[in-house]
Amino acid sequence: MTLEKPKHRISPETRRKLLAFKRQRMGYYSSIVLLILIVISMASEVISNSQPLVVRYQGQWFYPIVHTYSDKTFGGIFDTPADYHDPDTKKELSAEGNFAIWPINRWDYKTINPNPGLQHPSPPSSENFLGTDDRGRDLLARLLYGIRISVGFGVAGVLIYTIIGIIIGAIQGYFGGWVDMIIQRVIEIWDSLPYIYMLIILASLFEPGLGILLLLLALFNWTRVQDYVRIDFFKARNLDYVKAAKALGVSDVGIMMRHILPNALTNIIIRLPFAVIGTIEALVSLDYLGFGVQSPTPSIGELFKQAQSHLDAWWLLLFTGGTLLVLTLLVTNIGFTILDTLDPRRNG
Amino acid sequence: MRQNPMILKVDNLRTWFETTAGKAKAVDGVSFDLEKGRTLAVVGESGCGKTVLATTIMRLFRRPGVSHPSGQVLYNNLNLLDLSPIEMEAIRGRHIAMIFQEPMAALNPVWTVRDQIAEPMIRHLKASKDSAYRRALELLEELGVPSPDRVMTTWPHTLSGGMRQRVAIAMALACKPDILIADEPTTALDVTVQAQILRLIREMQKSLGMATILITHDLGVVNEVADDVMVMYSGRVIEKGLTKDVLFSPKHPYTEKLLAAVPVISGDRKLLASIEGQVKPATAFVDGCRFADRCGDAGPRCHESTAPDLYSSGTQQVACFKYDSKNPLKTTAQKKSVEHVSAKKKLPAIGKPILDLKQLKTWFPVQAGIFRSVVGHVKAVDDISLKIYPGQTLALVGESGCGKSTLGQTILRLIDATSGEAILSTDAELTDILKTDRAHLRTLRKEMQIIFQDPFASLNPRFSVREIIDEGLKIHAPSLGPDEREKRIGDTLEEVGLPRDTMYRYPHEFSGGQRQRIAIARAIILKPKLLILDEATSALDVSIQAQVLNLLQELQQKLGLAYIFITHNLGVVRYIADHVAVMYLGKIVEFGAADDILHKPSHPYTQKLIASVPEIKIGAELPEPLEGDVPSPVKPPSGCTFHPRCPLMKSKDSRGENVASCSAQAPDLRPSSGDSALVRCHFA
Repeated sequence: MTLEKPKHRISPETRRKLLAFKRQRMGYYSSIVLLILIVISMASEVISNSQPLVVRYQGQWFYPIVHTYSDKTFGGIFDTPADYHDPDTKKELSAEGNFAIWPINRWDYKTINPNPGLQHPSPPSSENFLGTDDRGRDLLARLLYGIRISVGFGVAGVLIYTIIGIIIGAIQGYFGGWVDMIIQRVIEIWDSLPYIYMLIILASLFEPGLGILLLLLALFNWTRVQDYVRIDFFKARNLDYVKAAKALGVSDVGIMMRHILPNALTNIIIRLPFAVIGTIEALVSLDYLGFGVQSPTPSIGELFKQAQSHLDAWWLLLFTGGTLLVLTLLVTNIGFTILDTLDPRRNG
Repeated sequence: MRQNPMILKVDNLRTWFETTAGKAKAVDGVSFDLEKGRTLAVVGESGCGKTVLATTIMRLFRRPGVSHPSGQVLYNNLNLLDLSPIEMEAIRGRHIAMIFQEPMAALNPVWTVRDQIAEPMIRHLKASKDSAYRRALELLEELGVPSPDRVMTTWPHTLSGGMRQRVAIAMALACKPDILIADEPTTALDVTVQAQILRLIREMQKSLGMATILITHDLGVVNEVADDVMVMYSGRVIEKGLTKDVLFSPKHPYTEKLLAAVPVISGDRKLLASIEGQVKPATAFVDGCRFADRCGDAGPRCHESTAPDLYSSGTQQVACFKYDSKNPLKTTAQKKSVEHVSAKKKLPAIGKPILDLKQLKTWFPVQAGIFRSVVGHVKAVDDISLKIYPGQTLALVGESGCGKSTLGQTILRLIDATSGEAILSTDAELTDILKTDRAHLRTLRKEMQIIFQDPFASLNPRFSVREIIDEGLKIHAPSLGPDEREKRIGDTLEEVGLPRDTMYRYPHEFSGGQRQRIAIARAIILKPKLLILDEATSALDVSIQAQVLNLLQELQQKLGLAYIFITHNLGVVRYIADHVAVMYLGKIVEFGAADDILHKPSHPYTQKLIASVPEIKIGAELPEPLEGDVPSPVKPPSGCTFHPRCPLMKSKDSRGENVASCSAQAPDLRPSSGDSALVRCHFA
């Protein structure tokens, strides 16, 4: 491959669309808020952690956030990892000349608040800002880490199945004929399998984990993308400029990648945000039903389940529901804005 | 002076739009009168406001941002622009009806033909369903629709283009309107069908006493159909008068040039007069004379901000300062006489053919049933043998569906052939394109290139012009460095008449003619020997078409290119072709030198095809149309496939001669009794 001159000008088409996106306030601000939310949840360890960021103890610096220290280090008896919420440890650290710098929220998703005076789930307090769940774990921390897993799962899942869908759809649409016929029949059989039951069955066969869930999700969702990529390629292969490229001797892969895919991308991109939401909600439902990730992995779905069994613990429902609502609203907003900017039928 | 009562009076009408690019003055001060029973043709290139004018009269604008800063549309002294939408509904379709260019788009695909035609009668005349159906059937009969009973209950998609347009006309005429507005009614149709439709409109107009506004860009059609002509340019009327006056003694420089740019079948072969530049977008219209920048004859006054009025000159009215009786503009430039191309050397085929087609067949299987068994074939290209020589142009002509485009794409192996050979001669060797392996085919691709009809579809909108032209160069000249490639791209752009820096821009910034030049640049940068031009100028306005045809002519002479020119426009054939092959249902029915075929056609089909082309000459009348449509290629007629439509067979039959062989036996392609042409007919 010869290298292009390094002047990668954005094509005016793309620039026009970016500007149009920016003009739509709702979507623009939603994407900024979502971006902030994602950055915060990506930095969960620094914002919400049971270990202090930095400890000064007997004239020495310690970094518990990156390093696990023995309890002995801070004057304990056993050679177990230090528990910084332990009253004894706390006392040691607050002694003269010692101090600890804590994250904003002093809990991670799995540490149980050891305070014996509390009955879990406990309501919001100065210690647990949003209260605790039924095992005494900090709700804020679980939500924060939960967002990260949900969004990450959603994006990764959609990316995987979109790529599979593009490849198979492109091959079908571009070559057509028998290739298309056979793959399409196989897909029809595959698609007729009830997706959620298959997931439940397979999830109970294997040790449920994020990886296996991702794989199952991709297996059952790529046909959604394949469907319209196939149609787009099918239409595009008869376009004059595709024929002209063929007449110039451009290879099939070259035509597919350079000429057709960019046009098919519009249809893919406008569906991405809704696909991500769909995937996040799929994980929430599986977790809620108990077929998803296992404790102590922070999970929004699992919190919903707790909220159902502890109806009096209003904070569980309010904050968990609020988080999912905000997340869904933001992504949906962005989705509709992208739809408005890219879908040619909408700004005809 | 006026014999007929006036039915429509448009007075200083303006239709402006608000667009993101500014105010578009699409119609800007148009006045005309329309009399009962007469046909007014509105002509001009695309972007001149013809369709906006029609749409304004019909009040079909729905979108916001449309305004009428001045003007009236008086129908029987009723200003249509003042009517409420509900009042307008009572006029539309009842008193003023419209037919459109694309009949498929104008018909509702889920309604049967009879329901479409009956709807306006039920709506406006409160006709009962039965009586409306009865009238619909009558209309179809009057419009010459074969087996109207059957057509009544079918859906539009089962009909041919000509039949659809008849149905659309039946709909428009159902309520016997006073005014019919026909917006390019035959542009999407073949010439043979165009002749049928024009005849019908003419007859219906006579019998109903309607007034007609015919919008068209085809000056031949104007000559044969219209009583009066109004020439529009950039939203204004620049010339109007009686058809014979405007067409045969045009006054406005634009009208003159437009007429000179039309390639014609008869007369001397001349270099087409093209008009420099192009129509500006409606947002960039100036206040003064809008043609001044393309005129060549313009004086200083023309560039000022006062527009010329319509001055009277003879029976015509002309918006040009040359005809200002008080202060006529003196022009220094004398009228350029139109150059004549050296009567084109009638080349005897010298040397080796660049491409030799032998018994080429492209059949598409027709499949049926769940097992998709092949039940027959569409013989799109059926046993075609042709030789193409360097520096020469072979024109492939025929109605749509005759297989000419399929043939072009088969030669390039964009479509796979069923059998036959296509021998391409390169410097080193002879290669059968249809059988060679893919790698070798890829290297041969630089020898033959294709230009498509629609320049908006043939350039990838996401690529810059440089990337578009570079694509082939990268494949076929990989050893060139980026700087060398860029230089060549610049050179080639200049060769096709575009500035070098065009390469940094994107296709959407260019007009149709410029885009077609870019497509030509993409092809010729590979230094091909053969160029297939698939209706390469059909989508362009005549003035732009003339520019592109002249360019193609020039390139051929300079580079020794061979052209296969696929077209339905016989005027263009006359201008550019050395040889002509006439195709009908996949077969060549006549082949010979261009002049022979156009002036002394032997095959009855060719004769009819040529007679159907509307010409701009005095006394031209609507031709006797060729009957019927091209038959379905799935089930072609027996014997000679043309016999069901053949006028020669009919006349022989009526004289009692034996014509049994026409339907029984397929004729061979053999030398005709007349000139050197080959012809496929038992009697020619």
